[in-house]
Amino acid sequence: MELRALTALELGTAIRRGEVSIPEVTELALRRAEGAGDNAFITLTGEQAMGRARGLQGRLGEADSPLYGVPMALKDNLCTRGISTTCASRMLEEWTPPYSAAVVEQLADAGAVSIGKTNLDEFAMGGSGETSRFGPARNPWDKSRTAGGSSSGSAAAVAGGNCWFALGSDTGGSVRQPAAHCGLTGVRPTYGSVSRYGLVAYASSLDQVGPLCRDGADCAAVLDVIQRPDRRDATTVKGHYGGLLDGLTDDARGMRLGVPTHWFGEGLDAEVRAAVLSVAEVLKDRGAEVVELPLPMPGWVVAAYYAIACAEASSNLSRYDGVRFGLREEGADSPEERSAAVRAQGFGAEVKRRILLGAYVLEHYDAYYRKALGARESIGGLFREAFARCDALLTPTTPATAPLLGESAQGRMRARLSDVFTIPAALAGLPALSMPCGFDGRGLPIGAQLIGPRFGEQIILNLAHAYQRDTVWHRRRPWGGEV
Amino acid sequence: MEWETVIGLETHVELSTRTKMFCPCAVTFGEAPNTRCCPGCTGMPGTLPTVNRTAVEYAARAALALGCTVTAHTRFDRKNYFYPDLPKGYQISQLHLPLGREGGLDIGGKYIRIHELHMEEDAGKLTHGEDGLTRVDYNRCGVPLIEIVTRPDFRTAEEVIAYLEGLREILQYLGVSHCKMQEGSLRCDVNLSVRPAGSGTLGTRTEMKNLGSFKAVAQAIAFESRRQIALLEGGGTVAQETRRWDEEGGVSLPMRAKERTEDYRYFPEPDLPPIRLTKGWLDGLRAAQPELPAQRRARYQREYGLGEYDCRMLTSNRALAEFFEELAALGAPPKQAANWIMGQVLAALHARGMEPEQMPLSPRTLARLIALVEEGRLNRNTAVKVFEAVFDTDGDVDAYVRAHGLEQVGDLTLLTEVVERVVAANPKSAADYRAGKEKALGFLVGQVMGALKGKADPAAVNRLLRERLG
Amino acid sequence: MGITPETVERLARLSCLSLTERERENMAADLVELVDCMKALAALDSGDGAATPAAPEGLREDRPIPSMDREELLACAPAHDGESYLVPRTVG
Repeated sequence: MELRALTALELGTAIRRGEVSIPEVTELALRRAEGAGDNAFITLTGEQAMGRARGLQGRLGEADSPLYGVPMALKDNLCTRGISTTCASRMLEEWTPPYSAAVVEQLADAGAVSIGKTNLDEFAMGGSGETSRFGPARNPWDKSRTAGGSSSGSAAAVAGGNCWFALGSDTGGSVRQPAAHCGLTGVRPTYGSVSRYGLVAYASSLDQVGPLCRDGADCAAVLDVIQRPDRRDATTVKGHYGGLLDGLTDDARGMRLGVPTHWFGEGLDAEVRAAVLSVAEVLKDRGAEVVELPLPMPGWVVAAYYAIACAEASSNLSRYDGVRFGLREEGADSPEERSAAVRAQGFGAEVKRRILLGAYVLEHYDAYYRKALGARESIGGLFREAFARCDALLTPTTPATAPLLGESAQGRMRARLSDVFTIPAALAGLPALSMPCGFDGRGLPIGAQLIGPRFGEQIILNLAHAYQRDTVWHRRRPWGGEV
Repeated sequence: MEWETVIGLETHVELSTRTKMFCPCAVTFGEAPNTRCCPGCTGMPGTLPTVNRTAVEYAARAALALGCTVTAHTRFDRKNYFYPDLPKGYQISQLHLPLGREGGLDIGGKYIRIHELHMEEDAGKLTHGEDGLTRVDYNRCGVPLIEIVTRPDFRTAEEVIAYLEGLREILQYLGVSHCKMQEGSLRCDVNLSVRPAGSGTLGTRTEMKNLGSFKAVAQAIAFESRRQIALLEGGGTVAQETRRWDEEGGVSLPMRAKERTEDYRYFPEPDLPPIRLTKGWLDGLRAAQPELPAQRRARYQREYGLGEYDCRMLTSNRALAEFFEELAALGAPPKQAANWIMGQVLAALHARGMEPEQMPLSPRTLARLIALVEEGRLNRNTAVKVFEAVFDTDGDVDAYVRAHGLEQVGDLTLLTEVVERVVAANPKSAADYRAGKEKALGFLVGQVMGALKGKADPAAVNRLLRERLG
Repeated sequence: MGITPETVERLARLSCLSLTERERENMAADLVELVDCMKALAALDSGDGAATPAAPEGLREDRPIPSMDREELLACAPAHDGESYLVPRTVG
């Protein structure tokens, strides 16, 4: 049994059966993470992880979660009490939060073992990991390529076999896009179903924490732990949470899968198109009905996303003024000067760019911000129409497979347009996942996206599960072979 | 030229909730710096606001009492600016959909229109040291505020003060704020401009901040009107700016050019969903609304037959008014009850630095004391002494009177005896009185009272002496 | 609403960011490009982002919970004196 090739649920079963011990797998994960050379982690918390692993092993009899004892990793924009949380920014290098994020507590309660904090684009702003203060994480499938972003380290850590699952955050595609580039299954949950308490904000109305895993079932298990209302986050909503894992079936009968033809047009890599469309064929064999839909992709979607995200970011990032936390800066004559100096040194270029753009959008509230909110309502309306005719939508996750490091910086607009498939669900607050559906000629994974209606996690996870019963893409590992 | 001063007021009132507007830190006054803070109210990364239900309720009750239309879908907005007392770099406030709109307040014949009432959070406190450093304390940061913005309906400082007094009275009555200017729980900014009398257009206005008392408000208005008039008469123009009132110097000083609204980059607070105030919820608040001072004053005139002055005094504070009503309900004659409250009770509170809300004396005790006076068993001077003795502990009046033998001597035989003795012992005074010197009678009354240790009814002694010497 | 060097200057001031000359130039170019992309929004109807409203009953109850230990809070601060946060003296 090659332990690091297992899924989180398979490992959890082996742990509960006593086939492997928690300290043993935790040590394996830590050793592997240290030597991976993929820059997936910003901080490894070996000592805490081993201490916790031994404690959990001692209480193995009380294990009541399928993730009990499973080593995992947290994106470094999730606050961890007593452990530095950098957001891959110079601004927060010195900061140790005095509290933990809701999702961090929930996973700890479920017995998962965090081995460390993963790399990301600075403050989750970027799609390649390259805006990180610590340099980009590398794609385990080809180390000269990006692991995607912004949850680049979480994707690289899981795909590279350093841990069995990881949490990321998805604002406009930051879980799904790296999942696609690294051959993982990653879910952006319905907005409001997972607490953002302790997630360092990029864009409040879009940010949502989600899992990056080796298959859909693992994602279901993680979502069962982290989806619940939280009194500390007023944007969480009550609902029927939990039971996704138990509810999984591999039967797609009666499901109507919508294929929005507009999304398969120009600009989409041919290999990606073919691989994604093949998902529909597999699911048809599993009993799903496939319907083609005219769901337009208006040109303003990306603009609306950037208007809202940057506007909120410009405000959310105002708290970094060097007074209560953050960089130390001596020798300024006034608080304004000191804050300006701290912010000039603490933030990287991409963060500053989005802050300024956001300030501009808000300064012209009626011309841009209100229009963007209107656009957001419109896209919600388009999705509602689509879901009147189908249960889930099948689309590509990204227009192409993982780019070379340095490539995405060449044309910033091009990099932004690579978000075009992940942005609409984020704007509409809908659940969406990416799952591996093939490999291109260079051996790079291709991701297919399934979008569900609000709270339709079970639908898209069932479809993913059914698809993964009949395919092997998700069982391929970068270090060779299928498992 | 005749000039007219035009004034609008922005009043910030701290709500007297137990916790802050957006986090569950306790609201207390005068604590050591930064001991009433959490990651939320110090703006740490990853924290989120949660709305205090009671703060919304208090704000809505204030809006209803001020005749505002309550916005059914109210929402918070972020006001973005940098200052060390503002931890998040934005203040959560309301711009687009404020809680209350278009109300007003009657200030003795003139109606001051209220443009809006909105909720927001207070900022921290800065202390400027001589060591070139400013110390920041975030205890006050996040305390719930309502800001009440009037139309430019005031013409004089007196009107402004009358409005502030009326506002304070109402908010205290509602129990939603302590409204203490000295503690900063009621603060106001004065927007002031001048124009030629009779002109229909408004002049350029300045905004004055840091007005710590009603006196400061009046002085600042007088100063700023004069300053603006002098500028205009000298051929100059008024700059639209924010000015700070320097109480010691008695002058207003420029602080900064007035920001444009766009500079604040307001937008809806994405961390908080809008709040829907249903009709049922608002009806519940309306039903639970206490009787307000104006209504209560009218009722006192009608029910108790008290004069306007008495009514105004008694209703100026809700606790005081309630104390009065309980006294009356216990049978104290309204006029007597009112006199006691406006005399001894207020003096006793004042001497102890207490607010009427902290009154140790119960209405039952005072009612008993008043009854003893009414029944002629205690004279008024003795009653005042008893009052002082029982005030702090709400002591037993009857027990005290008994223990100290203070009950008034009502026995006519005994009184007559003492009068005889005093007249016999003071033949010169008796002769003086008979010779027309009224003053001599006072001396004799004093002698009788002294012999009886003050326990006699002075009126009765007076009458007996006159009869005896007549 | 064209982007000029003054626009960048103003936005930087509002955002409390001091920019180098080169950053300023780059930002101006980036803003032009991004604002150009925003023009697609101009033709749209305005909305107000109708989020599901909350009922007052669901809001946080007004019950205090202990504040954070001051030492722990100040430990994060770049400059403090054990009681308060310190900043260069503000004017007025």
